Amino acid sequence: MSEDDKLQKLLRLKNYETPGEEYFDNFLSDMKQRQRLDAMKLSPASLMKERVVEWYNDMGSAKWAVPAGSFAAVLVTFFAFTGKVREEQLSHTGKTPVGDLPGKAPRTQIIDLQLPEAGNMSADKSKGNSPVLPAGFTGFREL
Amino acid sequence: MNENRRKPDPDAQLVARAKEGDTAAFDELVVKYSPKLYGLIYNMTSNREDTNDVLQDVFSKAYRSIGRFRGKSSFYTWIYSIATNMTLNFLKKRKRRQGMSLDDIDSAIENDKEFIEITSKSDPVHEAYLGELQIKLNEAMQTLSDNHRAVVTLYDIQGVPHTEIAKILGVSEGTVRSRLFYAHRQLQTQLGDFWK
Repeated sequence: MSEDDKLQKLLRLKNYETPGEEYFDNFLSDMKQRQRLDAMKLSPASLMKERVVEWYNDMGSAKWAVPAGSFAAVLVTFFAFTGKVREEQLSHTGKTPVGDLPGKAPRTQIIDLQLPEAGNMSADKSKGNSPVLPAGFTGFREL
Repeated sequence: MNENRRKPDPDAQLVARAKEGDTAAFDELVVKYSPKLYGLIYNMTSNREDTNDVLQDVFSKAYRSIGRFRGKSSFYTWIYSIATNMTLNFLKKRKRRQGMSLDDIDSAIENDKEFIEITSKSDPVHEAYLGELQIKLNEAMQTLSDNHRAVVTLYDIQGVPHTEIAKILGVSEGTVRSRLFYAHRQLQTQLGDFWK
């Protein structure tokens, strides 16, 4: 006989560790008495809590969707609420967003570029007064 | 025949009557299941008083919840999962309350009439050996984790098949088999000297 078989036989002996028939004869009446006492002690809140826990446990694998869904709902509510509060604050104070305030620098700054006039765009080589090329520059040597 | 098709629940009628508020039907279920559930809880807690308290709580909870029992599983699986989960929760609380001491282990088997009857059929040396082995086994059972002890109790002591244990504990059948393997190995290590 293998050690596993011996162990299982020995474990099966534990079935004999029973309290006897008398215990089970009295068990039902003891239980009913205790049920009555518990019914008086249990508050509606604790009953409600027990039912919610049972409902949650009965959901099986879908129960993990509950915390995720609740978290998402809390986030959406939070952002919706904070957005509304900001809108209300602005309408109460009559303020407009900072970028649109008069006297403040606009967000985009327009810089006027001052380009040379069209006639001065090409360098006058003969005079050597090119605004771009150094004085005395006569041109590129052809290689 | 389709093996996957579920057998009709032998308790279906009693359950239906109990759901309609027939307390006598519920009492019949209590009478039918209390010895089996007592064995389950006792072998997990190793204490008779705790077993009595937890067993009463299990049936009280079942009574309050039977209206919501939809028959997805058999009543047997349903009541076993209530009992197993409540016992595991109880053991967690008990561990927090006090460290488990060997004084809690109920070695009442030595005085158990039926056990004495079984062992007396053998010779006195063998009887002493069996008694000692049983005590050693109770101690070894206490070294197992609660989850491992639950699987050993359900499979080896109560004879519940792997598939049912998986449903009761809400784990896969592979997990049940692996827990059993490690639990057996641990028990064999603990009982090592006695096997020789």
